[in-house]
Amino acid sequence: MDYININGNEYLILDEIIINNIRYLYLSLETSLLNIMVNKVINENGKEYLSGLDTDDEVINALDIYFQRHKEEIGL
Amino acid sequence: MQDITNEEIKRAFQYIDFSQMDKRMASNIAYQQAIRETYNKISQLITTKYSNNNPQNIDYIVMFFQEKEQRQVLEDAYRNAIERSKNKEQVDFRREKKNAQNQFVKFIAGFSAVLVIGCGSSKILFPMDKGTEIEKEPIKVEQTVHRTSNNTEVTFSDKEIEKMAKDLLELEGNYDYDYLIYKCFQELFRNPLKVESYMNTLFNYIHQYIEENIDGYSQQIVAALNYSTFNEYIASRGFKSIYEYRQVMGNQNIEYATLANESGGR
Repeated sequence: MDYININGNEYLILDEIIINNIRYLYLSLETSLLNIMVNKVINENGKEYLSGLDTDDEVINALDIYFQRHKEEIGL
Repeated sequence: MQDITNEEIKRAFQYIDFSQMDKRMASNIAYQQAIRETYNKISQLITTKYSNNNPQNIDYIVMFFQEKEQRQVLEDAYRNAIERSKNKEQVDFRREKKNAQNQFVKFIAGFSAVLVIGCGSSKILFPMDKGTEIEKEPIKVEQTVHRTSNNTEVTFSDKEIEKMAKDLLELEGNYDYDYLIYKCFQELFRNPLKVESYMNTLFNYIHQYIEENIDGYSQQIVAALNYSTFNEYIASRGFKSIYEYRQVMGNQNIEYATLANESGGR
């Protein structure tokens, strides 16, 4: 499983999806269910950084696509 | 037999009052499904209350009220995700690999349970606290892991869609063309954001081929498929939206598959 470490906290990478040329990471703290978080990957000078999303709509759109992609596992 | 009070009906209507609902949440697909399902159940509730009391319907309605709490969980999950995901400062991060399949399975199981309940689906729910049962299915886990590491947007070219139209028109024999169109829809729905555009392209090609050689196709095909856009097609079938089309045809597809299995997979 892939994890990322942000400021000493480990997050499980649930998925990584490119939407409109932006790479979104779907993360969760493994100790807690139902706490999905979406971040986007920013490339600066050849190094990757994580950044929050700008608007509610961007988060909802990213979540919609995640749920569509995983609808078979989820049972939708 | 349990009685449904007027107060409960009033509360149920308040629950689906669109004017009270966050418009951004209303645009969410899963949430829309939950709302639609709720609305249908309330209609049934009214029918039951003001006509004859049917015990089976009463059970259904009581179940709906129990599920209402869980729908709130779905909405909360979205709201929390918005809170956690927005306006965060840019941070450095490090990728790591670990053997943690169990946690992942539990996460998927937990989230599945909420979503399935939230969407009013009648499918089997994953038990949130019975991780060991799910862990007996290693193939499912491997598929999930595989999919998470290979994500790019699924796209279909015009050529692929044209081929789909040709294949459809070249079928020989009697077919349920509405079913076949739905199978195309399912395939193109792999990109949910572009599915409408893809389906319109599909119907464009179908229409073009039929019009070029209208005598070369059976009356059945012409009657079933000669629409220039997907929207025209679904309107001809009485659907008000693609959402409604997907929902109704999805249910029919399940029934169709069940019948096919029962009759030996034909």
